[in-house]
Amino acid sequence: MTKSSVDQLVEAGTEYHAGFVTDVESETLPPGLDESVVKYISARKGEPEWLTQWRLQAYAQWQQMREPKWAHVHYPPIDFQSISYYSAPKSQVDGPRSLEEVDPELLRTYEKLGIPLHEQAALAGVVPDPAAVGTPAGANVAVDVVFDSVSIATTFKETLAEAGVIFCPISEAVHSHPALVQKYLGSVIPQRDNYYAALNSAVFSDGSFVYIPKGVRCPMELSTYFRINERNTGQFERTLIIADEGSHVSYLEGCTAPMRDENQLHAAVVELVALGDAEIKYSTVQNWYPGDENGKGGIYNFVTKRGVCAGPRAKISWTQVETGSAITWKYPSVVLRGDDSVGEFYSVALTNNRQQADTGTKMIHMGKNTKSTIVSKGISAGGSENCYRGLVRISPTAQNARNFTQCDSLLIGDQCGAHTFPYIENKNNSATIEHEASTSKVSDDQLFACQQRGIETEQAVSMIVNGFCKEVFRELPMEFAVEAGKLLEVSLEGAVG
Amino acid sequence: MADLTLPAELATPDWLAPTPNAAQTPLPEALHRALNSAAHRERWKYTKAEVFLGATHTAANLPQISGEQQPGIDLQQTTKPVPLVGFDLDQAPEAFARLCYASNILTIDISAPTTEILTLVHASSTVPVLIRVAEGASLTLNEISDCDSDAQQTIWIDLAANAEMKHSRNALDTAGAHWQYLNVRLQRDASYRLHNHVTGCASRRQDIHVLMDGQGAEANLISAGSVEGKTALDQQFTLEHRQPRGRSQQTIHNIVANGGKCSFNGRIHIHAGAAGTDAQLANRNLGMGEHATINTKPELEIYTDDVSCAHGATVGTISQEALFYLLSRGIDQGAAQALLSQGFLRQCIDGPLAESALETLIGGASVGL
Amino acid sequence: MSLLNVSDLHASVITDDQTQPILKGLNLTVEAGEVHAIMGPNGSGKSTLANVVSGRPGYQVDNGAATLEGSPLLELEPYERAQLGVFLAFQYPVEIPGVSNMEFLKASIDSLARARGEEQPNTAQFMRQVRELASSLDLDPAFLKRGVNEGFSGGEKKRNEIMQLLLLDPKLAVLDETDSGLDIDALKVVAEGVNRYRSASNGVVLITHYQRLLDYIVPDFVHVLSNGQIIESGDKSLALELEAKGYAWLT
Repeated sequence: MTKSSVDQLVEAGTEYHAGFVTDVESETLPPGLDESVVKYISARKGEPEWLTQWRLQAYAQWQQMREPKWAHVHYPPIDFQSISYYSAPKSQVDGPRSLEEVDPELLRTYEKLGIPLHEQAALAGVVPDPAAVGTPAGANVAVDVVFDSVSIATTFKETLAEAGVIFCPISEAVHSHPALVQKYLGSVIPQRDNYYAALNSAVFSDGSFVYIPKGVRCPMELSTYFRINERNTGQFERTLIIADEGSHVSYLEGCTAPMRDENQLHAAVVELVALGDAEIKYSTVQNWYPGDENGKGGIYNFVTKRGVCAGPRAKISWTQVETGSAITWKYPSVVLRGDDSVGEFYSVALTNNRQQADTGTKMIHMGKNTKSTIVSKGISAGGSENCYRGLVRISPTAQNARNFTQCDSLLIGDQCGAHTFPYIENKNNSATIEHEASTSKVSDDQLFACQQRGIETEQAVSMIVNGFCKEVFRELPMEFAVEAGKLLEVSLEGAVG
Repeated sequence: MADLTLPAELATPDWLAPTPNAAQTPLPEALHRALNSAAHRERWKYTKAEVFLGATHTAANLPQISGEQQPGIDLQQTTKPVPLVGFDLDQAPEAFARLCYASNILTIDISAPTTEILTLVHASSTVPVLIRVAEGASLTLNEISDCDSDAQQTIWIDLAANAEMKHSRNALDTAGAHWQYLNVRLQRDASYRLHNHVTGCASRRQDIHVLMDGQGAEANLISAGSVEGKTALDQQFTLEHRQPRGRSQQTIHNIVANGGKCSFNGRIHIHAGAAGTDAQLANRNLGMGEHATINTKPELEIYTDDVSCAHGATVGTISQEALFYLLSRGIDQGAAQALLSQGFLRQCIDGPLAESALETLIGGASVGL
Repeated sequence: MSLLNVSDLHASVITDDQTQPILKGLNLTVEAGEVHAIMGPNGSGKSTLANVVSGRPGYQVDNGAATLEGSPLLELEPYERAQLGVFLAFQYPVEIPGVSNMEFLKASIDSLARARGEEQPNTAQFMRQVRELASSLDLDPAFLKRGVNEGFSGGEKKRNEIMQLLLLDPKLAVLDETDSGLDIDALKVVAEGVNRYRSASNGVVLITHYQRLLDYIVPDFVHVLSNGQIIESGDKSLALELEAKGYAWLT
């Protein structure tokens, strides 16, 4: 694809604004998966022997496992041998990843994606203004960018280092902080946790690593931007965040992919560890290519995300806005092991056209006085299927555990589906659990009221949908909240005739 | 996981009218497939299916019947074809197997509004019962389970247009592995009301499947359960809205105490085209005493946008606010807790079998007040 | 011996993660036959006083004492205080579906009788008495079959509280903003009920934000509560002065 056709595509204003391809030379493995591919990836990254063995172990387990079948998700079988498991832009393959060496073509990619200006400047090598550090969320964001299989650049490294924060590609952390990686990798999500976690454990290419030392409040938001560019590649990134005792971090994740007719697989693993009194806030705006209006193409987003509140009073909060992907299958979860620990899940999942989303959370209460809150907003439009699936489990040891769940669905049109499957499993009689769910539609009365005051239909729908999602957007860092609102608007284009 | 298999060879009996799915697939295979589907496994997540499935072929008696000697009721033990319209083999393969194993079934046809209560008492496994209420006819049915060992009862109810039925059911016995399957189909403007009063037993399973198969149908399911000590109760309620403007309301209160195990699944399925549906479900669970297991899953599956649909589930202990109100009036802790837990169940106890249910479920305390 | 004696009472409200001191050395003595009105701005501790005396969970006594006819109250369970003769008319009476009003009242009166070593009243007689009381307070006796306060309007809930006051005939009645949310007719019904209850052998603590109620229930004493202490006491005229000037001049 030539550069001019890239620009044309962008200018054509197609509904998926991140759907262009970046023209960079890549080193890409031929499709197929066997032990030698696993070994190649490990060797390419110069990994220590324990990690190579760890990958091979995961690969062996994956081969023993059966691909899961989900009741409300439908797609043709995936040919795991037709996927390429490693792709890296050639200019990035060798040498250190200093900002000056970032391929200008890549930087333009991120510019097109609308990555905040600060990040672009940082990515372009502009030295950050130290005085700006510590200003409220959004003003300063440190970014790690993952392009296909490798991490391209991490910004604000020095500022973070001063605070003792480690934020780098996980491939780098394997070398620079081997003890931490070896201790925590797979500690929350074991290799054989599920089919896609096992696959990820075998072939994960890159991702972000974060460590916040004891008592440190991370001076800025940390962010990773994931992008799939190459055709026929899968992206298997792995993120590991450790918040040591009494620390605090807010982390943002964004994702896009070009428009392609084929389905592409994204099977990430995210592990969070919050030790005593630590807090991790993890926000995602997921805008992978959803396929066209007839359901052709799009990303299969099969992701395993889980955090453990390992110590007393730890807190993990997941916030997600899911508008992309042909199929989304993910349940960011919290294991509440420490007494008085807190788990939160705030989610907006919007599906349009032929998209399918099966998403929710698991709150596993083990410690005393543990608390969890779940707020899920599902919006279905077109011929899509949107499903909340959740589990609240109270173990016998979880004295005085509390959960509150609110699960609302909004339907736009009568060709879509909205489903709710909330599992509640309680083994302790001191628990208090409340689950509420409701279903509503964008009513003709509401639309008419808006139109009568001169508001156009699409804007009216977008207003109503934004209102419906308010409780979740409130949880997002400011910059993301604005982006999320716009994303919904774009994703709903054509939903109301 | 090993496959679930039928306990004995099975062929389509002559008396069974053309069966769903049977045309394409031989019945035993169709059943085998349904038994091992993901959806079916899901329905048996918290109770072992094997015990119940394994007994589907055991001999059955007639239930004890009273109140049938009145105009408008016709009872038959039949081997003639009986169509089970709308019944879905995949939804309840065990129930279907029981039908096929039965040497005959009991049909009860209601052709006019009836005044006296028709009562069925099950002292053991009973033959499948099909109750058909004709257009504009009405019936009050009392059903009492009085078993002391393993037992299975399956009932199909078909309500024609404008038919009306009030169904009260007490399952307060100390049965072994007890399975009650109930399938209710409602046609246009029909109405159905169930008062279900139940205790745990060694292992009690209640499947209720309501099909809203006509416009404007109305169903109301109210259930009170007490699962105490080493007993278990598994309730699987499915309500399918297939036609427009149906209304359904489900209220299920269960007390689970001192080692009891209670599982509830309430599925509301609103099909495409069932516009104007109003479906509500509330499942409340009160945990008392030391250990207990409470599983609940209120499911929604919705394929049309013009619906008013809500469900809620709670698991909790006695409200501290209500407790203090009682304490502040001089009622001691134990008595106040007893009053509140009784009140919790009493909200769901009503109908002609209420008195004996109150007696068993809440010890008949101050029934007169 | 005083009917109620509260001395140097310090108490805190317990929230999720902390305790917040509300009462900071409150003194109050109520003799039999007296009505004391407690007034004060929002947040001054009026309701806390009512809740601490009646033993509502969520409060912590930090110091001081409260006695009813010489018996210490603060160590007792709420029902033991009620059995001694403390009655709280709730600001927000709770709804208890499934427990009928009649059943609830019977349980209460039986418990009180048992505690005093008296015979439990005959059921038929008791029910007649309740019905009479209900209609005297403009409550439809049909409500007695319904759940406690279930589906009641705000006014009906308050009248139900007063009905219970008359039925249980306690030694000390603590009325927590019983007038709030009532229209003038309902207010009169409630006041009539309280006046009927008043006698030489019992006492009333009337917690209110507004002077209005005191036109109908004339107090013997008026106290102003501010920041957890009584900062001013007087007779009925103090209430009128507060009405005219507001609380600001006192604090």
